[in-house]
Amino acid sequence: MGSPIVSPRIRREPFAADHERARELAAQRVDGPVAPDDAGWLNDHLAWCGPCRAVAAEYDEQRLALRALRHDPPTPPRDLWARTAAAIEAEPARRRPTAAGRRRTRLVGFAPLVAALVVAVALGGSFLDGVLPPLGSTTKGDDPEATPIDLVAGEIQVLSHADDGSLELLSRNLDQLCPVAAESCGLSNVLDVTHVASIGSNGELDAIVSPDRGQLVVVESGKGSSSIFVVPLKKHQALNPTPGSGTSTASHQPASDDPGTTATVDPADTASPDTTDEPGSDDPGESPDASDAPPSDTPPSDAAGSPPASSEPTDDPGASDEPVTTPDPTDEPEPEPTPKATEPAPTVEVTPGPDGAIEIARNVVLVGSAAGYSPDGSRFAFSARPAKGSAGPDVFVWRVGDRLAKAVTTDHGSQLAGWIGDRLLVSRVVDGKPRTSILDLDDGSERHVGDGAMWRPTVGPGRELATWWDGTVKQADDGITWVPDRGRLVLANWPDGSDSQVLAEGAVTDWDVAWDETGTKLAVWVSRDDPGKPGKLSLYTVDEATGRPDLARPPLDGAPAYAGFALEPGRLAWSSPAAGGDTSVVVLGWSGNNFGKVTLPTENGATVLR
Amino acid sequence: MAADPFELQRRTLPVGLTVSTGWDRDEAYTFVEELFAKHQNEIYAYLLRMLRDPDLAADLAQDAFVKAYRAYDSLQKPENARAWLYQIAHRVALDHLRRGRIVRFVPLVGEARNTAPSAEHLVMDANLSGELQRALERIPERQRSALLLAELHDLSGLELAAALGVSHVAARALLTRARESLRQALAAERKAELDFEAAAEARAAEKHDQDPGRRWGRRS
Repeated sequence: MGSPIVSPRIRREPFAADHERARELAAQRVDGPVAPDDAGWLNDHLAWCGPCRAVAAEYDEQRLALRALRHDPPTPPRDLWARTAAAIEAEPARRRPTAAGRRRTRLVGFAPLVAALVVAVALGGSFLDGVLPPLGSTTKGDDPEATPIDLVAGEIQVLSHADDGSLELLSRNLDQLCPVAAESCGLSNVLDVTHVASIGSNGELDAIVSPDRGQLVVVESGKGSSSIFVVPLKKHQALNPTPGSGTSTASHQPASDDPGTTATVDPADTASPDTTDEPGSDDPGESPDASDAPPSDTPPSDAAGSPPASSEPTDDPGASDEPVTTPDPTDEPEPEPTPKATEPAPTVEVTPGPDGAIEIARNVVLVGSAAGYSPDGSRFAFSARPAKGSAGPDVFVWRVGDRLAKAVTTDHGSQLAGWIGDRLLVSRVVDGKPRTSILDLDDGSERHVGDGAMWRPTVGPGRELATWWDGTVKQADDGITWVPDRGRLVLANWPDGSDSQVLAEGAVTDWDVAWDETGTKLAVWVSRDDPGKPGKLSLYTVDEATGRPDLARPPLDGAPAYAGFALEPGRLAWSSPAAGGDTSVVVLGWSGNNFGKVTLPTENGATVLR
Repeated sequence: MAADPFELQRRTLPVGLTVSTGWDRDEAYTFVEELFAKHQNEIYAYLLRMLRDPDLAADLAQDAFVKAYRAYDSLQKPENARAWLYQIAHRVALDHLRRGRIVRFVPLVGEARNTAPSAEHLVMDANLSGELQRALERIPERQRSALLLAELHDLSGLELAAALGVSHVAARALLTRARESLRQALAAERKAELDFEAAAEARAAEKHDQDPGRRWGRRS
């Protein structure tokens, strides 16, 4: 193995990214001036690019068409105020007193679950005194039985091993919590348990769900080696309890009166409660990650059209130690239409497993914690090295419908930083310094980003901010991977690095950063220990005016957490070490300035779907 | 650093809502009455454009003003009242859409292309017609909301961010994505329209070919 080599790639003009950038800027220009440099670049591009010029014209026409509708506004019914006034008159004369000093402790009862899982739910107390009744609350005087209030939250999904080693999906609807002053509110406490796949061997799990929640990538690690599976999730698996399993009951079952754990209240400032709807994990248009994606009339990647893998899983004992992927250094990824879809990913056609699971890589060791789906859900990327340590890490991409993951770098010194649109951010050591490139999967071209040291950047929504390791890196104990050495984890303007804020510094070994889709919360997980050991997770609120996180007042400050967390609007979920070596799943939910906590202790370990 | 990682700091919501203990029924009533007189038309229009159902829009507009009544004292600055009210209406609309998600994609009677619209949608169609309406229906709700608020309701960047409950950076990014989504949706609508017409012509031609009178040489 030689020193890391940046794969030689020929720059071909123009980049597909140029057109993407032009169209994005053209859309931004409709809403206000763009930066002078961008405006100049855009004008130059539009001067010669007819298709982009046509798109820009469409944006302008679209705006005119929308604005034309202003001139004929609909009129509300004449009795609207009479109805509204009557509804206000029917409101209670005074609002429910706040819950200061009235925090209660109670254990919420559970229907019996499979032996794999014993769960208790702790609804933690409000963290603020003098909390307003939420906008969405339905206060009913001082009735002892209050109506649950809605949270901007959804379903928490957890992957766990059953006793037989197979995988189970545990889910819990967390879109409601008891209001502040409630004695009880009839919340259901039941986790639905659904068999997912018989691929388990009781190793450690990592689980990444596709944006449309139609697939699950499961990384199972044990004995120094990992296998990566893709498991199709059927709707009934994600949403409904297993019939006849005895592990679930109807939702909104009244809570038991068992005494015990804590109570939390978390008034929501969302709208009126509704106790009937399930979170939409079967609804691609509603899934948090996909809700902003463009509509799709472009079919997702077609399995039949995908290039065949250059190597297949083998039963050959002589080859059993080789990583099973398609690390063909000379095979430049074929250009493919990039799906920009919210449609569910197509069913994996190659389904050797009885549950439709396919193994896209084995005998590898995952490197870093940046594995993830592309925003459109058409591809999954990760960095890995051979389990036997014969080479350093490369970046691999699995496309929906493919048989195996395919290497997109070949220098054995590349680490995935993340996705930026449909391109990859890849970090390498170049001339002894950490550098990052943007890799275009369509044409294989690369270009450096940032002028200085930049290791594993994560770009935020709007692509104006990013986090990365700003410092030096060193070789890890295995001698073939790179880890942070001296420096700091920063958040700064992307990509020039100006106005940096320090998120962590010192002996950092790994980290993970995510914004929620609204851009109002930032979660940062930092590990200073070996892989597999817990790190610390913090949550920050993003300032409306500056777009920067308020680092001085984190709603969550350094909670113990294993790698992998899920941050979605209104909730943050992670796996936490628990007493006796067990693992708890903790969910922090919020609505406005009120926070609540839910703890789900488990016996067989659990991994939050991220 | 707090010893308890869950210990939270008291803080003010960026959108202007804050903790308050004072709440007076009469003040709340007067406040909402004025708010209603000033903004009822636009709030109703926004909800109608989001939901395309006049009766439902009226119900949810009522709901939004009742919620404003309950929480009137959480409004810190009167000049933010409009964005604050839009935020309430936006959440009311999204909550309703989320509750209805299971049936949301089931075509409504009369809503299919080139079929007669239902009576209740005629009102809506008069204001938001044809392919633009259908294209808006196809894009994600938050994007639709952002476009409507920015283009039809003329919310400024900061107002839009407040109404959507996101940062201004995120609001602008959402708007950018919405424009691209709508562009694609319009293109899809136009293509679907052409396909429909082509299919209709093909059916007509086929019917013409299969006309017994034509096949057997109808005689007059």
